Amino acid sequence: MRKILAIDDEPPVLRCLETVLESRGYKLEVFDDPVEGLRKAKEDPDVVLLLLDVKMPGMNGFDLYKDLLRSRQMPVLFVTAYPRSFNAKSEDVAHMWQEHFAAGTTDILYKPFDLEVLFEKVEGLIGPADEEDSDP
Amino acid sequence: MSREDIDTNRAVRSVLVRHWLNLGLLTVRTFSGRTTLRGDLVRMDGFKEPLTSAIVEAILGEIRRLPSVRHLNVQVENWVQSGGRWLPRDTDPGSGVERTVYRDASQDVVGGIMPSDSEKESGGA
Repeated sequence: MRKILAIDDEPPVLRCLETVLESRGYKLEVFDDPVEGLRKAKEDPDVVLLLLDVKMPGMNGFDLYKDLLRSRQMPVLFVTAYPRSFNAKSEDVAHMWQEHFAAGTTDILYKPFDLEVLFEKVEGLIGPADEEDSDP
Repeated sequence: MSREDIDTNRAVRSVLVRHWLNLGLLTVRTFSGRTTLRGDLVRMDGFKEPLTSAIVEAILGEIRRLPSVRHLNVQVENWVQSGGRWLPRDTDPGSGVERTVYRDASQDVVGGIMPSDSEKESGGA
């Protein structure tokens, strides 16, 4: 079963992601502590996708993303309520966009989201839960 | 959806990123080489060069030329094909067409599954 790891400081969001994505056949592991979540994402080879909040106390999603990519490559879906976090005027964001997003393995989902859009984004990154041979 | 389809999605997203398009307003799905692009074609926030017909046509042409894309189905809401050209959809109040709202939770009240945005705004990183 394909394992997805979700990191968000809001437990209700994590519960929602867990419920709906497990109903589609994915296995979810959720963390409301970004540091713990990052450690797990680095260490667990079974994780095939990271769902990542942007604004979190302690460690923001962009820093976590860059830290993760220093250890391993993995599709990442940013799930954020702050569309303007992705601003081309920010040197940091523009650099990340050109250096990492350009590979095409990262996507963005804005909260609040339609479940169908969530499924489309997840399946678009890693394929349906029941197709083991399409692991990226 | 095969591994090749997932690779195609990745290649399409890569084109979108290189043109500074807002990924959060688009979905990319490919089945057996048939790619569907759905949502709104909008530049990433803060990117100063606006989208034009020529740029939209260039982006779509680039996607169509990807070797693994056998067919591209464009279901964007804010651009319309007319006379062989892609044009921004009319958003006049009387047109009956509504553009997708580009929301920023820092500027409005959000419901649904994000019950504590206000808390986040005051205490988040």
